Amino acid sequence: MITKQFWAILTIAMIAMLPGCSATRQMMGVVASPELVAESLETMPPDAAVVARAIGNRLGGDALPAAVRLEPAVDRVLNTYPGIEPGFRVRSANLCQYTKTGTGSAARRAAGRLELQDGLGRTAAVTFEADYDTGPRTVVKKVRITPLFDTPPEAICFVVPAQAARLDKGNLPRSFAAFYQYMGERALSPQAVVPGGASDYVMAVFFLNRMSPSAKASLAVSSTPAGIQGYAKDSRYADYNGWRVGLVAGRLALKNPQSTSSVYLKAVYTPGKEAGFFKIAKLVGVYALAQRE
Amino acid sequence: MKTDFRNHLHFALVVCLIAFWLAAPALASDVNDPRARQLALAIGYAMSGQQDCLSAIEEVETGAVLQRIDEKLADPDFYLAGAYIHSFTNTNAKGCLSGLIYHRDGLSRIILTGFKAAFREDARLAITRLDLSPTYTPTPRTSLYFVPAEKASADSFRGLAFKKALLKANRHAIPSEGRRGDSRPRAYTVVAFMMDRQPPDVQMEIVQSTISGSASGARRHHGQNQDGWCYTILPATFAYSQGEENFFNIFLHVNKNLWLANTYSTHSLLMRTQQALAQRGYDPGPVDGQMGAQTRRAIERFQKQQGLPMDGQPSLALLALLRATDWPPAVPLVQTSLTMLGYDPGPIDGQMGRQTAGAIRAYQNACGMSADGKLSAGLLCHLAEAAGPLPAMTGGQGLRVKRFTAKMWPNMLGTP
Repeated sequence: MITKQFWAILTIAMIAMLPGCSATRQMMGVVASPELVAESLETMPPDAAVVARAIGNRLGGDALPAAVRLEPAVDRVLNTYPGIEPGFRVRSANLCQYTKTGTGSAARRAAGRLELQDGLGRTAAVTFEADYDTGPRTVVKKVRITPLFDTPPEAICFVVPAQAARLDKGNLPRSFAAFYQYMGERALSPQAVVPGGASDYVMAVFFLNRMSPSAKASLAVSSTPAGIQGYAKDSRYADYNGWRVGLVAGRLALKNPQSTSSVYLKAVYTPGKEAGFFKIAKLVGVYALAQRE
Repeated sequence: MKTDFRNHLHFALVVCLIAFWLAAPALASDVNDPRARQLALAIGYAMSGQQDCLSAIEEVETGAVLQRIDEKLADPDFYLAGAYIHSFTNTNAKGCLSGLIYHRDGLSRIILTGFKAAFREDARLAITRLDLSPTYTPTPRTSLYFVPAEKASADSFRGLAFKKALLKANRHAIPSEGRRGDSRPRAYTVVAFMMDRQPPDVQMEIVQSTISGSASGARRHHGQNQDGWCYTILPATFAYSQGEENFFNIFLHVNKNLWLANTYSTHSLLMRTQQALAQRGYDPGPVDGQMGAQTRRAIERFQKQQGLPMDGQPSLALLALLRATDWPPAVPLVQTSLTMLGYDPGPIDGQMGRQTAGAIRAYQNACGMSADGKLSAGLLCHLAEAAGPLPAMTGGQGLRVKRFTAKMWPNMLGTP
């Protein structure tokens, strides 16, 4: 009885997740998906490419391509969209819908996915749907932006001597970029570590993809690199508008040649409610801190 | 009152149990554990009777549970194509896992099976309990064949097993591209197949219509469901790649809902492209579904005007663009951008004239590009950037950032 219920729920969850969900497509491998009209900006119809670029530029606080004008309502939507910070630029885009709309010859609708990236390598993905008129100047009349959280985050790790990282509880840097700079400047280069006795360190893991509010980023310290288990009690986390940072402090002998057991720091990502039933924790980073020589 | 309280307590308890039962696998699971993969593969191989592959998995004991499930996939043509682990837990040398397994056969059919297994770990892993249940994708793949009726009538398909019908349709069907259109309407047997196994109560229906995706059409036929494998046959008379375009829309009846699974045209992609080119004055030659020099040149002309790479080949993206294009939008975009940058492409009229080409050449010269005066996707992107200058890469407004790449600790997983 339970098994039947289980699979009934699983099937319903799959039905809810499958259409157009690229993450699910990766997992399943066999499920048909809507055909893409174009897989990149370069292969899009030029007017759609310019519109996609204009939307991306405006989301990232940049100037528009000259030949594009946004209706004031569209400009407002893009300028006030909370998911993207200034400094982000279009990294990739695809188009899954491109149609003529209405009876006029110039009205179009384009819809697809935009991925934006900033100078730190942070990324954020959105779907866009735009109604626009082509002509001597393309006029975007309506736009809808929806955040996408379909990619497990890339995680990068800095190891900072504890005495150099004076992070007061409740007084962390005010932005992700400032935090990144602070830790990056004080971090030890893995190549420059001199083997020796144990010292106190702070390990900071920066998750570079914007996460859903219901997603979870966590750290765990373990003696084995496999699995998501590990000691996680003393870890601390900060959330900067969806970009997460995890901190864990510990006493380590970095690259100690006498050390027979290694210490691994694991970065674990659990998707949010968008993943439906498949909220499966996934290992996105494993860092050997006390490496064997 | 007491009974009410008990009822509430029971209800709360049941809710808690269900919540725990749903959340527990996700909370405690480790789907990346290599043992999970070995166990899932062993179950998959055992299901499809791939004994050689099964015995090659040294980590897993081929005990009684695995031996008993040989008959789960009745068709020996199916082989294990992949597995997806949903949850994996292991404590005190005992554990359980769940997930999906998919099997494929040489005809590209796919069977999805959900599994839940318990195992123990001694020297090797041994499955102690296994529950399997068929699982279905709501977006099944379809195949459709136009079979000339003189080669195989609709009656000759009736009663055939799915696999035989698929092979027969495949053998007699006309090719979908590169074939000259029919000079006059002829009788066809249209045969459509669902290539993913469906629930036994799902019905398939094919509808002939002049509208793509429409469920209303005078000619329709319900198919048969043979243990989850659905196909349907519709005798139809039409001229392939000629005259009025007809569509065969394939639907699934799931409970009381109708889902469009796919739609097929009686015109080839090339012919539809030729039609669109001809309607827009690109002169592709005869609209016959045949690729000739004139069609190739017409496609290239259109691609050039749109600033696309010129390969002269039809594609769905090209057709979508053609159908949405009444006049080339790329030329006025370039003309506007050039004007705003201080060049003189002449009036913004969407025409690629001598003055526009001259302005492009001047712009290319100024930017150190090869000055050919021609439109290209590269030029469009360059103009878009130039006309809307982008600031240098920053991590925040006005904040200069460094990535400290050399200080990043190496991720043993590489880049996810």
